[in-house]
Amino acid sequence: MLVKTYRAKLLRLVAFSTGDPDLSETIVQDCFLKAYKNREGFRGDCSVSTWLYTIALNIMRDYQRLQKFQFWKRADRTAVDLTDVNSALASPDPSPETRMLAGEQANRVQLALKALPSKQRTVFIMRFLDEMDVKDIARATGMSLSTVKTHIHRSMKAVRFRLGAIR
Amino acid sequence: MTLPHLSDEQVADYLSGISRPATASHLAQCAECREEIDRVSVSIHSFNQASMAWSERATRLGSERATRLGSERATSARGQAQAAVAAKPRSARAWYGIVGIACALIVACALLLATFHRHANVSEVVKGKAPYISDGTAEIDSDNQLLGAIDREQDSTSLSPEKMYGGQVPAITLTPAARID
Repeated sequence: MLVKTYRAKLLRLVAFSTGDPDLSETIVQDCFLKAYKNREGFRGDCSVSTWLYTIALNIMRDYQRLQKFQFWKRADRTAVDLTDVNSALASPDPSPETRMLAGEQANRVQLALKALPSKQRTVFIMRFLDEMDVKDIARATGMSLSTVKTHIHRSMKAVRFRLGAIR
Repeated sequence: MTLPHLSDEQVADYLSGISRPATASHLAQCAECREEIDRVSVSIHSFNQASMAWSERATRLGSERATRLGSERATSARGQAQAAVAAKPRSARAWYGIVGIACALIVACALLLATFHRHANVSEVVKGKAPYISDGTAEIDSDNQLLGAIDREQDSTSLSPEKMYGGQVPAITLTPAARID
């Protein structure tokens, strides 16, 4: 049940944070395994999704620490490819032009995210895609509230800049 | 006089869903900021949908792969188990067959031995106690020869009445008193 509810969201967070879909599958699996093993440790002082995100981000950090330089090299080679899902985007206007435009916008955001530092990328996804509260982001990432807010503002500025929206 | 546009923080807050009265009033007046926020929010919305679609598809494919692997493993394990179960009775059956054949051989040998033993007893009985049973022609001939030899011997040892009485055989007159009848 837990896997069914949260797997897709967790996979997205990890995949777009690391840029490596294969590694993200492993991290998400490890995350659920760890969550199952430590289920007694969940005290209920945060939501289940925040608890799972905390575990996933800890595992991700461990992987990054272990693999160091290889990590991002590998991520570049096996980046998440959104082109084949862009055509299937749900849209109230099913015209090919609208779908193509939506796909192009999605790709531009992805490119903008790719240029961001890892922490900003993670915070951006948690805030603007998963619509998590700043406090929950701070709890999951282990950052202070002010640091989280700074990352939110900086990441949004960078994305806007990439999208050509900054005056 | 141009309005000062929204700051990065205000735009980020607004796009995060935090709407402040100052931001709302500015957006009501400034078309440029409205257009920019629309453009960014539409792009993020498109990315949100595309990334979620990718993730859901990857999750679906992953679970399908896991299910397939699981079923393959289960099939393999079931096959191995069936093979093991099938192999055990086969060897047991083989052992039962071997034991059965061995028993049949032992019984057959015992029967043969018993039969031979019985025949041997019968032939001993025949040889020792019932020579008459063997009624061959040669034996009859030999018996006749034996009897003939006895006759000849008797003939040679006992005097004939003619010789006993010097060649004269007294005439025997049968008297009425001597009549036997």
